[in-house]
Amino acid sequence: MSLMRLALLSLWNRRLTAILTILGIALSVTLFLSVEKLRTGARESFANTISGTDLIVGARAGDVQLLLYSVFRIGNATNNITWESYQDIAARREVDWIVPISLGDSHRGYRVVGTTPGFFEHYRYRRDTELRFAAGTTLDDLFDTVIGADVAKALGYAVGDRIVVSHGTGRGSEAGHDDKPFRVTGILARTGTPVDRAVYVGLEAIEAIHVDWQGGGRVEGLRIPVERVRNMDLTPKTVTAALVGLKSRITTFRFQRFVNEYDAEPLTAILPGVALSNLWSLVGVAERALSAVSLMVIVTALLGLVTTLLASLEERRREMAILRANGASPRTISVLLTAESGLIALAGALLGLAFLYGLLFTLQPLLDSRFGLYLKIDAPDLQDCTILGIVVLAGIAAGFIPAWRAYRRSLADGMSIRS
Amino acid sequence: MSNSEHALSIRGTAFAWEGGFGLEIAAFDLHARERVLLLGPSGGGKSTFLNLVAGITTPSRGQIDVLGTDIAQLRGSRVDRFRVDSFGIIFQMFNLMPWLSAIDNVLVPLRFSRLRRSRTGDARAEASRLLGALGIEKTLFDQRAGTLSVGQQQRVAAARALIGGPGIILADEPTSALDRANARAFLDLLFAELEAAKAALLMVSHDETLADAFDRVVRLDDIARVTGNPEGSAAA
Amino acid sequence: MKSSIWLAVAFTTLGGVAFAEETRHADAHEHGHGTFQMVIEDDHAVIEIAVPAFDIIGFEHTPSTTAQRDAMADAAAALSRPNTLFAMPAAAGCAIGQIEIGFGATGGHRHEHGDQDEHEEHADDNHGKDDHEKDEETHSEVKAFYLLACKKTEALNRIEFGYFDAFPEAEELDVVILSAAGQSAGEVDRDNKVFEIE
Repeated sequence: MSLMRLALLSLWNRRLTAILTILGIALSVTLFLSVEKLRTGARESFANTISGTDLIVGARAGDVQLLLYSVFRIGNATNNITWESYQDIAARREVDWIVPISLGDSHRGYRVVGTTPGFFEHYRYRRDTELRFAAGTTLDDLFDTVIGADVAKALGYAVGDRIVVSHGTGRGSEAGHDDKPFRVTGILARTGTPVDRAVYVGLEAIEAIHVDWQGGGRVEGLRIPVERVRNMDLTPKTVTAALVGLKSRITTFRFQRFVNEYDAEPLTAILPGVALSNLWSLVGVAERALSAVSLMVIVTALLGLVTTLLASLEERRREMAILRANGASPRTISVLLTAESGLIALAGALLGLAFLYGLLFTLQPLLDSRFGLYLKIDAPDLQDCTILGIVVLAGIAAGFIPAWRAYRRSLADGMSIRS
Repeated sequence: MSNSEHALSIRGTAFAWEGGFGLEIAAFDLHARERVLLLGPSGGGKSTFLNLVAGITTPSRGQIDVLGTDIAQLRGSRVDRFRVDSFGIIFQMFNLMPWLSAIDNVLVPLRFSRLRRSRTGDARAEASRLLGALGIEKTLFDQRAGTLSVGQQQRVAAARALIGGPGIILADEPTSALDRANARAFLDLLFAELEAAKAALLMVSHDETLADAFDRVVRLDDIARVTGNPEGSAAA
Repeated sequence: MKSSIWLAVAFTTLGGVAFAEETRHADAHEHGHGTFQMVIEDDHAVIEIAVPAFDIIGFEHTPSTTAQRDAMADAAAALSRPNTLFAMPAAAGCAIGQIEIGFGATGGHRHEHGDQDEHEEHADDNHGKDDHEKDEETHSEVKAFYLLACKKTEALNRIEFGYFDAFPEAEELDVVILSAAGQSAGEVDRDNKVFEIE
């Protein structure tokens, strides 16, 4: 009979407490690892929101604010850019492409984005992934619209449906531009980014639906029919922001300086990657707090392990005395206890890992569809392994305390166990 | 002093617990194959005496010669190996690990003693033979020890003490949990196997009625002097 | 032809009034804090740093003593060793193509490294009165520009900032790196000298 088998049989004898302890560690490990997964997943999803755009230009604002309204469609621009400035920027030699974004209208709670077909061509997410049409095609006619995947799914729209855009960004005021309905010509494939939650129309269409509006309200008695609108000059007066791609990356900082120092109008150009990381460092505090909390849970579970082992020592005094009488050295007894503790921690860590993958496989589709949070399921990475290793090592270390106590006690008790 | 005549020989040994309590043993001898009953009241230093003999506690002075080796001089895990090589030990009760089978309990010393393992040959066969000789029915061999009666458990403990032929059996009140008839039967079976194994027996008890079965009866008071209250201190 | 573009870039960034306002973080002149910008494209990398002169040479006025002139020369020598200041993976095989270092004054910046009272005390210290006045009037900034030619820019995945060992007064650099993989930004400081490019 090997010492290992002896230890395992002894542990099996106390299986209820052992299993509960293992479960405690497993759950804490699962919690920590899934928080880490969510954290990195969220960060990646976040950082992957926009790529391939060198600069975003908007009215003078903080870089995070500009990023929030132009990319995440959160909040509103304080000012727009005049069409003249936009044209000026677009004409620069360094500019490869420029895509305008005009915000301010909504459709049943989803933002309406006035832009050009160039948007679908140049917008990139997740490491240079292009937007794809799940159905239909890009904008062509004045009253065409392309909708994001979430919009199509939530509102049950298909290509060919007619929708009405309302003024402002609140829900409810559906009667807004009801005289000028749009036809859905395309539905974008899912991206897991805010692109999915918007309705896209041509820049001129934004002008068109506002020709008979003034100062945020419909001009009394003025209803310009669609056919007359088509013949009007629909050149926009302003845009909200512009995405810019440069011919050479080298010119980025110089171009940014040009925009920021643009005399005719106070403008801001941001590097989306930099703004994303600035924004993330704001969010990151909460994220790190979450990590810290789940780390504390692991510590708690390990403390539970120590407690369980210490409590078990009392009922195991007899076992220790028998082993001592039959040739086990105090060191052997310490090793038995540390091995047991390490074994529990190892079982807990592995079970925790199994739970994590179980969770990932069951929740991944839900997270993707509900929150646009795409978690990759791949083999545990170095960091996961490090955490698991630390848990096992901490488990072994946790065994030192009861082992030392058992060592001391086995010396003091000797063979005289009478209870 | 170390010759084959002595299984155990103690000279001028003293042990002190923290706090000034102690036990002094002037001289004690156990001859080979001799059966000695050591009588003493509870709390009279019997446990300390046994711990000293078994090398679990180290004396502050003097020598404890066991089968030709001064156990007081052994250090570290060597004393633990020496203990299992030389002694078979039976406690008053709770001798067995209740979750192991009877036969696995008997095999425990062989795990730690290469010497006794080498003397045993087929370990399971020998364990079965001993259990049978000590009156355990075959059907109980593979039962969890915790399900056996107290009497059966003591006999399994005796089989464990005897396996692999250690020179000395140390027994700490092994019959105190048994009724008189069972105690007698236990001793008879134990003695028969001692004969076969050619081992000496040092049994500690407070029960004088067992005296007639032994070669010699020694009173702890006559060979040892308690200073303070070592049992009380030991339990603390 | 390509290299002429690079030279043109180098000239426009550093030549002329090179100390115009930076877009990020340069609005505030804060001792210990500088910026590090790097663009990787094709087989080239351009690095541009802008740091308060205090971080590099320990003072911000025109050098007036021999010791101060020596300090400036030492700083210039240290700045000429970008592979020590900004160590990149050997696998990238980057060689220095061009280095430009400029010391200059920045006008109209807000003063952030101490309030007025502190400065009054400074004046009574071993600082001369002239020094003190200069200190208050001007801030100067060191700009350095490096053009690297790399064999394998994909291998450029991290930079170790030996910069903090070379300049004991430097505390922090805001890092922005633009490459084919995207834009990455962050901070490096004395305790955290390695920037991983994602």
